[in-house]
Amino acid sequence: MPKLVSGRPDFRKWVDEQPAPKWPLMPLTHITKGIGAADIVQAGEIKPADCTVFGEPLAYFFYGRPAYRVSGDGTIKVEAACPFCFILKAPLIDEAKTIFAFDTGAFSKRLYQHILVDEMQIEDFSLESDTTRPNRIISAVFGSRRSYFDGDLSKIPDPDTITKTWDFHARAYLHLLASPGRNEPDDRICSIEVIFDKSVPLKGNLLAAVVPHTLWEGDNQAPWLQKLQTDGVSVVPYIFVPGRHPEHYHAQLELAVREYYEDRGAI
Amino acid sequence: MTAHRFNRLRVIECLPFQHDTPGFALPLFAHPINAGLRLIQEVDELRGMIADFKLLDGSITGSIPIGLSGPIARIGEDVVHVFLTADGCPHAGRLAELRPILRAYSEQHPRHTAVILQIQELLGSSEEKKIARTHMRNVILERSGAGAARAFYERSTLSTALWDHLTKLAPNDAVAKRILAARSHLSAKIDSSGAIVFDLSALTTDDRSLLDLIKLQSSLMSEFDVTAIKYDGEEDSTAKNGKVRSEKISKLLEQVRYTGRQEERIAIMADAILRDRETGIAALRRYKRDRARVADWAFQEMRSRLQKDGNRRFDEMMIADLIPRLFTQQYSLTRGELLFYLARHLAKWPIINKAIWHALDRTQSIMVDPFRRQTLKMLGQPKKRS
Repeated sequence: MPKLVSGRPDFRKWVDEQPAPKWPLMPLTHITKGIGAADIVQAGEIKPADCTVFGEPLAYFFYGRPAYRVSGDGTIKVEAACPFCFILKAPLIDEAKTIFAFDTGAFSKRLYQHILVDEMQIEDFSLESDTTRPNRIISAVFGSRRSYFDGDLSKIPDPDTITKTWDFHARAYLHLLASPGRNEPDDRICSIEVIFDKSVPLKGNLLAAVVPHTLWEGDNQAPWLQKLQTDGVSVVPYIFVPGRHPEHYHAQLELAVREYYEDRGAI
Repeated sequence: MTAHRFNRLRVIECLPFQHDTPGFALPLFAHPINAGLRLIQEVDELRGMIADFKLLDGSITGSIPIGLSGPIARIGEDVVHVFLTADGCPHAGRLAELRPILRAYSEQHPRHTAVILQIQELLGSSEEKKIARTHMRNVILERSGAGAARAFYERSTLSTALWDHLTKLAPNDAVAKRILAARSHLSAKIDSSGAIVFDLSALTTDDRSLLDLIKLQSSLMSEFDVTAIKYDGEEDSTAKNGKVRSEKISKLLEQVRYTGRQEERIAIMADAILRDRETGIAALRRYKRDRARVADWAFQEMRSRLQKDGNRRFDEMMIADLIPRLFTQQYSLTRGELLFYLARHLAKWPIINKAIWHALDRTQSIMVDPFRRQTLKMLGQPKKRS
């Protein structure tokens, strides 16, 4: 069973050698489906759920980017058909159990096997709980928070320029990001994953919720949405029309979150 | 596990996007081999057809059975939709088949703005889309404020329409695919003049040159209400400004009430009107009665002569015109104080300055003389009319 921390120290060592930019931390995102979103707000917290990768209850977030864990193997998650995105305060990352450089769900589904050798383990890419590491990676690999947010792979430097020949994990990571033939259908591979082993309360942490417009229906709107508004959470609606491709909805979220960040100087 | 080998599948269940609410639901297709698995259709975005069937990951709860009467969907054919009517009954079919049900629902539930918008997005004309989008924007504005309404209308809805029109305008599939790949970086906004402006910088110059941007502009203009955007950030700022103004009015009234001399109360109020017309007039209207006779008369004169659509110059002339009459109204022993306090607060207004100067110049009263020098000092040289 993969571990959340430890593993070989090489990748972390390489990350720590990268300059730490003076950027503030980025907010965390959590994507869920409609019913899940209502449950979360009613419970007032994002609870850990059983995780088949690490074998313990965990709650998953992404650093800055509105990504969700891939299913892999050509399957698709319900949330892809009508996603809701929670945006949470950046300092929350201090309470994370661990951070990973990429989507560990995709790793466990062996979507990265075309680049990463079998001897490399998930935990080798754990950034552990050092909260300077996400921005170090972003600075070294993407150059800016905006490029990271945009999944702009054109900014990724040649691995030879920022790694030594013996930085196997760092090189593998960079090749993975740049690999055109990867099995992954989108750019979630470059999303830094933040994992909690405890419930994350919404109160005091939730900044905004990007939700489909259908929550304002008839003479009412979803009561849980009203609760969010009462608590001072920004509610950002996007137009939801059924029967579109998951990439369409993902683009909607990305647009909404980017605008939210731009308005607040987060990218 | 992929599902590429399945070319045709039957809809047997649906998963409502929201519980206990009529509207669209996610069609779930039966797995031909494993009865416990469900698949969903994947859309070919360029043609609006079914491109593939994908296995749904994870457990599914809350689905509604459709049974064996559900339609069969095929790769390369139209997408299948499921719509739950108010009686909870699922209706599955292609848009052409569902059209009568969706139209009937729209007519029977005119207040279900969100679902009607979805229906018009799928079936409606440009005008019907425009109306539905505007209604939805207004609902969000009313219940969630200007920020949410703007995010919905100007960002999400307008940009989504932009993507759709751009894809249609693409001369070939290759350009259309590049548009779709870059879509989250392609946006449109409504500027302050009501024009729709695009940001297509994520596309290459070559791709942009292949697109008919005039047609794009025209298509979007026919689908969006750009002339009657009432929120435009103004509701928020109006509310904020209203609060600030209310505080200013209270402060001004407090200042007037606590000023001991009526001559100075008149001058303070007149100056406030000239500095901030809206606040000054609002305060004057709330200041119903002054405790002193001449001030009360002066305020009544101001109230009756201030014009709703006036301006500062008119107001200044009106107050200047009031000064000789005010001088006459004033008890003769305190006319010096009157000119002194008027000069203290109003000397900076040229027309009024001149009126005070004339009043002072014309009087030989020994009651005014003790204040003459100081008053003249405040007035400075007689100001020319601006």
